[in-house]
Amino acid sequence: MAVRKEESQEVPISSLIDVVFLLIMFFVVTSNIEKEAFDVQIDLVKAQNMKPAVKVPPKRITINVQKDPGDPELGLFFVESAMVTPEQMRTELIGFRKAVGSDGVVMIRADKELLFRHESEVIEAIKASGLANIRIQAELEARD
Amino acid sequence: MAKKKKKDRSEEAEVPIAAMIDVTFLLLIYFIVTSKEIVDEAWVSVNLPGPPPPEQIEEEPPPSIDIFVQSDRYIYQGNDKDLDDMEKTLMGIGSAMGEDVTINVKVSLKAHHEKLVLLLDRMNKANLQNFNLHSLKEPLSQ
Repeated sequence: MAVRKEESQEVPISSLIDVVFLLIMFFVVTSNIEKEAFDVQIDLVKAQNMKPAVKVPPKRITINVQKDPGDPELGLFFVESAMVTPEQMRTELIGFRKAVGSDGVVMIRADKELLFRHESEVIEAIKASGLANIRIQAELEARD
Repeated sequence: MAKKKKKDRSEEAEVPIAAMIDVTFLLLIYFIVTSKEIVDEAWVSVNLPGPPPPEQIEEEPPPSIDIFVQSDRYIYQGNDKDLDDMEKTLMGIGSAMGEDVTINVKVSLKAHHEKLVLLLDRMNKANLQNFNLHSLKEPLSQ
């Protein structure tokens, strides 16, 4: 009888550890995906009628353009999550086109208060690099 | 003596479960804290104007309209419009001219990105997806 009592008090440690490690693996994997596309905090425009970005194109490069917090007239350019100068951005875009071909997709994620002047700079750089597939990203807002 | 030996052996085989759980929970908390909220995104494909044709072709050009995006307003056929007006206008264009009409969106360099994206969003609503994006070097004098 005493043995049975001892068995019933036992905590299933091994299964608990299994679950915890599974959770850790989940967070490790999702945080890596996040780093790729969402590392730069951009205040996107909220749109209701655009196509939802369900699947990211396999051949893609993301250009993030942030409003300079010090001077709202200026823009900060990021290729993926690395800050670059406009010249470096052009070089990166040319390198991307050489690596994947002219059907590569350029995703522009721009701050909603950014002046079009800076977006135009990105578009000119894309044109100069020989790429033509451009997507402007927005935040999907549920319809009323 | 034999009893003592047996006790030592069981101590050696013990795994430090408590410490392992501590570390695991620490990692778990770290990843929960560092993970950011994932925002659902949407997109619109942009067409850039191509180079002018090498010679004049005698064909009738496809129907096209121009919409100007300024820093504080939209301009269509010389009339100032806000976003709600533009939505109604675009719906009207869609039903009158069909979905194949080409819209030349001419954006002032001083306009905010939001102004452009909201127009493109309303164009999507009106099923007008055939548009070219132009930069307007000089603001329109009104």
